[in-house]
Amino acid sequence: MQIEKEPKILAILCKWCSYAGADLAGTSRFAYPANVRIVQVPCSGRVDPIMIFKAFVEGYDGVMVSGCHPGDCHYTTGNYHARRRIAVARRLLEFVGVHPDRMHFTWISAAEGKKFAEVCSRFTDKLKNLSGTEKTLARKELAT
Amino acid sequence: MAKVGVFVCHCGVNIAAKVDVKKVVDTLKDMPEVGFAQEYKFMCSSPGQELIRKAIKDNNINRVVVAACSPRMHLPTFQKALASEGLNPYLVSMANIREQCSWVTDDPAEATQKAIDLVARQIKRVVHQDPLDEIYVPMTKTALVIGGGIAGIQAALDIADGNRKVILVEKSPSIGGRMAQLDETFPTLDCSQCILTPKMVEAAQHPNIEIRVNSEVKKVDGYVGNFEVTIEKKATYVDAQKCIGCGICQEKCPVKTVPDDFNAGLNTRAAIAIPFPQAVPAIPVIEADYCKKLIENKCGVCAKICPAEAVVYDDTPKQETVNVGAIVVATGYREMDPAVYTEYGGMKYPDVITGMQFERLISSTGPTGGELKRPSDGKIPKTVVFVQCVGSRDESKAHAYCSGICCMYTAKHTMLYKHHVPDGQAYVSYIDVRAPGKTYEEFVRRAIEEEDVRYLRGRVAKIRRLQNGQYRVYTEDTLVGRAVHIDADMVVLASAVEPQKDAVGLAQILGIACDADGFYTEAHPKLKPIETASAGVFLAGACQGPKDIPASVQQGSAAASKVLALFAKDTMVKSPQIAAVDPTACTGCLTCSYVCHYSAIEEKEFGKRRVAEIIPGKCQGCGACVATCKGKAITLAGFSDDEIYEEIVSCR
Amino acid sequence: MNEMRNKIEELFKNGEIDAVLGYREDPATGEVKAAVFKKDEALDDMVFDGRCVQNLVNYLPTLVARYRKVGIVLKGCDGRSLVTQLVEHRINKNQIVALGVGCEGVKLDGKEADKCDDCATSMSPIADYEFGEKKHKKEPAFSKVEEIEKMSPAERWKFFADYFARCERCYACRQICPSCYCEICVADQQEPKWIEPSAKLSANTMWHLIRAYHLAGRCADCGECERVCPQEIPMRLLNNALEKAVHELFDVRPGTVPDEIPPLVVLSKEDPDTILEGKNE
Repeated sequence: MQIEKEPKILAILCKWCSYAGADLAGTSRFAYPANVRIVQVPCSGRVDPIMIFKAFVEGYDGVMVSGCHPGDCHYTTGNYHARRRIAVARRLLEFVGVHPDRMHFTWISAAEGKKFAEVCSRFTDKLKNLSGTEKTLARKELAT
Repeated sequence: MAKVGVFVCHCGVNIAAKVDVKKVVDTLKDMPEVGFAQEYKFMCSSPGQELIRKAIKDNNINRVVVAACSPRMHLPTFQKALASEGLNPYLVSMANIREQCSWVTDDPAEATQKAIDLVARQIKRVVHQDPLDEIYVPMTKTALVIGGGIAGIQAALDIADGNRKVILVEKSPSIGGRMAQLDETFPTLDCSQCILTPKMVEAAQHPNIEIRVNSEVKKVDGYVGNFEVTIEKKATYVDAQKCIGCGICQEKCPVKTVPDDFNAGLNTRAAIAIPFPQAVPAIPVIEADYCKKLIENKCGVCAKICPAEAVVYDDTPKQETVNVGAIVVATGYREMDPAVYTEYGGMKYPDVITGMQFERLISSTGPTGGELKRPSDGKIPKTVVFVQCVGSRDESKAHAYCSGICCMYTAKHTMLYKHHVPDGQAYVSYIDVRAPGKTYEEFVRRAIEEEDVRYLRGRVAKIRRLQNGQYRVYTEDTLVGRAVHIDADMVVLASAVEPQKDAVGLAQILGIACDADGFYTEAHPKLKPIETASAGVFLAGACQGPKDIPASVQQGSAAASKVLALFAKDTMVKSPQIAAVDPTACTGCLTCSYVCHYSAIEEKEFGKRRVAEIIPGKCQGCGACVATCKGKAITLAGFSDDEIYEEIVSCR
Repeated sequence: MNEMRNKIEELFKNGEIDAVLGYREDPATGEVKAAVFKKDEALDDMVFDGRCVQNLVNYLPTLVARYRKVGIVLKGCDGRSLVTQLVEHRINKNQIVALGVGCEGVKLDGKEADKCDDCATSMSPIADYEFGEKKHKKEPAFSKVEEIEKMSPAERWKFFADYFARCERCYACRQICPSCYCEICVADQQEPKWIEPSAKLSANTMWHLIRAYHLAGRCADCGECERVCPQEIPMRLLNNALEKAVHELFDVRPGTVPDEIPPLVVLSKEDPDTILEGKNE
């Protein structure tokens, strides 16, 4: 069940950096809003924009993708490819009417636990400002 | 029909303090996929794992979800529990309800609801997880070392001493590399040949080392543990088995115009020659482009006078394929040609020479027998200016990087100069002096304090040749703020360290990467300076980046240790979470191959079509190709579209 | 036209090609359609004018499988789509002879097609032989895209939702596009069902987003998708929006350089991180 008032966020995180950063947020007890759902991928390069499109259609208020900082990718080049793909996906989604604030693409390292928590909190706040506007693309039975 | 066993951990109070574990179990046990659900205080403990085993045995579950800490903590623990009960270890998934739930959510009601959702997602996901078998890659326990310089020799010796066979491939006729060309080495002023030749001989005589000179690697197929390497030996026209190394062929050869690479182009030599007196092996090679017999079928003197009948004019290049389990790349560096510095004469002035050329002039095996004479008129130079950073730290004309060794060898050169010409005066034009190694700083101070070398901080703007045969060096002393010119008899340019000319070509053959400067790229600049992105290919020495002899030796030994660790097992276990192409769905566009950092994607024939194929030994499981394939012809085991889809869409 | 016919006859005669893909006017009905002209066939029915709307590149892969070497008549836009086929190694250059024809624009329903307003390349960028005039090149204009970009997100979604809701999922756009050639289209895959089969707004939205995304950096703007859509959905809008984006982000135009690496798989360490940011960040 989702906490109805809280915006629903899908966070796709790379295993080696961002997912570890999210774990560090936990170890350090940096709290963040409860409606963040994390999906682990081996590398941000694994992220196919079809996943981002599907997330919006399935009713997520916001989608976040995070990987290792450029230059630090565990697989050396995956995040460079992710960067291009996701940049194009963002342009497409904005073009059809998804509000830019609903997407947040960033780099979070395994050492940036605090940053992860802060990013989730700030993203949630931005999405709350948009509540009341249509959850674009979402299936009619899920749209608010 | 999947039947999931769900185990929700309290983790003491770490989870239970915020998450109502009982409610999680009660809510989820009625999901159609769930065949068994239980809570427990510490799932990672022995009794906890026993619960899983018991459920597999007694309740027929064939998938497991453990809701507990992060999978980065204990997934292997639970995988072992499954395996011990005969269930494939890849059929377990963990819901992270500690680091990513109880520890980051203040309100217990919210934490509980989040935990329920997280566990439900993993239940949906685990149903789509397939059993995976560990991949065992057989290990051929022979190593290939490419490059017979000091780094390659060290690597070969260490691997051979570890009781493994080594094939040491060297392009030139002798091993020894750059170090063989040096006169004395810093900071000890050891005679370079004297400390090097024992190692060269040891390598030549070591029962586990097979040296192949005049040879190059042309092709590498396969993957770690199982490389197939094609080595081409060039035509040398001398039978190595018969030659006794007497050198009479070299004496009697009428052609004397071959540029002598060992002496850095300062002189020429015969068309048939041993590269240098201490060569290992000491077997001459005929330079086909200069040999009268090979070009116009005249002469033939060497064959006539050879007491061992070792000259073979109808020699051809020969290729052979060898099987090795690991490759060490130790191809070294070359000295940049500073001709681009036209302000220094563009290398047209005979007495403006490079560091390596100076090294050869003062070397007793060099073109002047070790007497420091000006190439132009043979006079002894009484004033020498040594210019540092020629081609290094100079983004505008050459390389932005620092070549690392020139400050030290320039200080060495000034000292050796003073030993040769005690009444001479040496100047050094420098930007900084980099002397970071053990006793390096003290070494430089010796040059300044004991040999009266004048260090002038400033870059040389121009070198002009004077009528009297001297060279006016225009520079500045920035520490006093004055322009300075020095009339020198000789100028030595500390020219930059560059990768070998064919470094990029070899990188492509090996499937490794070069950085923007052409040096080979290591797997991680801080923590993995020896490995490359290609499993089983290691780096040693200056081919990875400019470095001095001790650092090259260190890396040679480091690479050897990596190889020996690899060879310690008979087979290599590899994670089965790698990608695979379904050839029936593949169009053969090979767009995926552009994104694979590990060169793991190759073309294959599939009936009449071409399709992509992923080499399991090379794939590291990043999934970049999976995301590239529009038709979804590639699946990544463990992170397939099915599995990720379930995690995304299961919103309860 | 005669010049081209002569050249084709010459190519047949010296055995260089075994067939030609061109346009034929049916003498009975006056209709102009794509056609294969084989050796020894008369070329009198071969035409080239504003009625030649079809992108012949769509038929090329089948033809090169059947004949050793094929000639193909190419308008500028079709030539661009041929470049994509070469870049993706679907066709080898040595299997074809490219006959570039200077195009003055095609007509749809009596008036000049929209895509011709913004035409950048009247002559095919790949042409072994050129016939007709090469019009001066224009920079592709994105006026319709820019109109959408002036709208607010809510207005944009209303605009697109109306069209997506109409989509029948006939996939005519997919069938006619030379760049859509996956053995099993993602829309037809059931495990998982990224794109649900039924023609409801949410699934149609997935279809159009994925179609546009898969064509990013590869669409040559031949305009066929828009021509064949039975619901008159402005298909080109999404493709042009991404063509504009790819040009702004990565400074490339698809369909111009035959051995370029497709932009979405280029390894670039230099792309600035700002390309990931939204307008308000």
